[in-house]
Amino acid sequence: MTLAAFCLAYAGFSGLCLGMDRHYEDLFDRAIPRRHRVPLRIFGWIALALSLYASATVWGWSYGTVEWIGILSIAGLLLIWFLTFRPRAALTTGGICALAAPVLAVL
Amino acid sequence: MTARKPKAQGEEGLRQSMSWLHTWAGLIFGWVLFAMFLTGSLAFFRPEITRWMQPEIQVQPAPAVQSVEMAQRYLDEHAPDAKRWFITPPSDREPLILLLYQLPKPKPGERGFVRVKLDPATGQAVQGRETRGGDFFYRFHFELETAFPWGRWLASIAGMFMLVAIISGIITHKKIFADFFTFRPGKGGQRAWMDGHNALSVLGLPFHLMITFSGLVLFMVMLMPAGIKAVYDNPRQYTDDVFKSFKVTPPLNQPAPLVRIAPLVEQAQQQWQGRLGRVTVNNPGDAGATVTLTQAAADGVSYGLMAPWMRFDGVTGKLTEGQDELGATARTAGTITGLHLGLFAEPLLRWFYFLVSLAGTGMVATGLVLWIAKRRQKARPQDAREAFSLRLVDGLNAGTIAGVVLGVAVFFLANRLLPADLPGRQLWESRSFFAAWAVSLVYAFLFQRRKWQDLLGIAAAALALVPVVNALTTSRHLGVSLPQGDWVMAGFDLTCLASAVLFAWMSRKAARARRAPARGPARGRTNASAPAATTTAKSAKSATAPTSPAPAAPGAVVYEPRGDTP
Repeated sequence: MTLAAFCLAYAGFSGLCLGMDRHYEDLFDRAIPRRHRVPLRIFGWIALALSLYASATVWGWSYGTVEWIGILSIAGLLLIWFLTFRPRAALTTGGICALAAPVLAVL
Repeated sequence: MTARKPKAQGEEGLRQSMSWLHTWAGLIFGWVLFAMFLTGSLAFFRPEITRWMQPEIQVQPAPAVQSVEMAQRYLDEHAPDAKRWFITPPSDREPLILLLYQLPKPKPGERGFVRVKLDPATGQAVQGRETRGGDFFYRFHFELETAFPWGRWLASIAGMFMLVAIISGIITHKKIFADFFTFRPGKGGQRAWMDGHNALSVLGLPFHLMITFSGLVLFMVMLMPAGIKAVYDNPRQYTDDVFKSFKVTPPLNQPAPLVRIAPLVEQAQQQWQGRLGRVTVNNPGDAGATVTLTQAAADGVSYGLMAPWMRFDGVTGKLTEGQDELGATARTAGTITGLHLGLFAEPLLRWFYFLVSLAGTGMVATGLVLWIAKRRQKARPQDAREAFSLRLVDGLNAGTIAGVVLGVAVFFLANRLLPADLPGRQLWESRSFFAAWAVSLVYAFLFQRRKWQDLLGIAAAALALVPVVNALTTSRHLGVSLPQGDWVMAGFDLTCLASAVLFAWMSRKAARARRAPARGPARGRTNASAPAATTTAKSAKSATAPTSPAPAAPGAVVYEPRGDTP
């Protein structure tokens, strides 16, 4: 479940990142269309919220929030670092994380 | 501190003035803050570092009830006339029973506290090599090895500058969301360092703000005594009121045998449904004896300094007072300080604390380097004063950033290499830390051009040597600790190796930047992809057991004599 929370955080950040002009353009060489931007951002925020929920189910709300903030920081720093050198792989990993999260949550 | 575009007049003014504040508030205490951040990060692993530094002590923890029984037997025999006893039962992080007792008549000029460590299996005192262990980093972090109270004041003032720097940094960072994921080492120079600095700061921002603010809250009594002075005649009364579990109760001066503590522990653990953190006995062997039990700090976020406690009559064993729930204010303060100390954090979260704290260390380091990177691009070649200030700051940067890391590695090496019976051994360990730092500073000023490359390389080599020397001098090296699953030893060695790789890489980057057509003289890492180094940088040198989902150290921190207020 902690892993699920981490995957959700990473996926959420990837979604938000891809929903931004600069990073979308880096990847696809064109401006981001509205019909992509809005769903990506919504997905990103929902994933982050679910990540908080996941971490709260493991640790309870008081510990879970602290844990979640730690998870966010680490996931974000990893994404940024990865994005710099392998942008495509970094965001693909985000997609994989999004798919893996429900599986990990069930396990 | 961001690139400026024309904007509304007023806002630009605020941003610009905040940028100035950020630059200078960050610079003045930057080097102290770097050392504080790094040692503070290491202090999250204080018991684990101590265990690594006393490899001859190998014991298994035992349940609290049994350990307290054993401790009482030992203290009855060895310290029956002590004024106070403190007993910390073993935990998974600290498997020894820690005893501390206060002698009735200390020699003049001494505090008269005696520390003993017991093996919970045998009840015998164990003697490791003399070392300060993780306590060195813990205390350096807020006392800077300076006499009480000056070190605490200096650390607090540095903390205030940090808080100012963080808040002004947020205001001055114009595109905090637009640049959230941006890191462009390819752009080189100032831009790259700025991106790295921003990423480290923004992503860790909740932690950085929390840790800086809560650090100041820990010292609020010292920093802002006015409220207490207005209400209490004597600060001691305030301490007794707020930290009731520490209250010193007077003796009646009539001998009476002390009640058995172990059954009381059982009773308390039942009521808390939690673990015992500490036993305090006032006036053992006197009719006025009291036994105070405090819950483990690992049991709750807000228990760092103010955990639930119960006080018993030391002769009859009757419960006299106790406190489970704190008031809202005390609980808020307890949560804030508890978050700083991180004693509640179980292994995974403790690693998060450590890593994000290292990101904070990197934030300070990149900020310092950025000061140079910004000015170097605009520097006028003829300006002697400017050249001097650039050289000064750059030298201090290299000597401190690489030097403190080298100091940490040398401290660990000294622990293994100094003879075990050297008098004042623990002093030599701390001296080696400062000596390495000082030599690095001298080196940084002597060899202007190659300082970054060399110092980072030396730091990497020293870090890599730590596990090697450990293997040569002890029987608990990686070849043994890994198969045994001894994660305290193995984690420590592996973390040293990982940080060695990192610093070697940074050193290579610095070397390449120096050889490349230099934009700035006398300087390594400003070039292209170099900032990547510090992004992941300072990725560290401590260790612990990542697998041992178990209690964090109970009140080990709490009863350290810290001046007058606990």
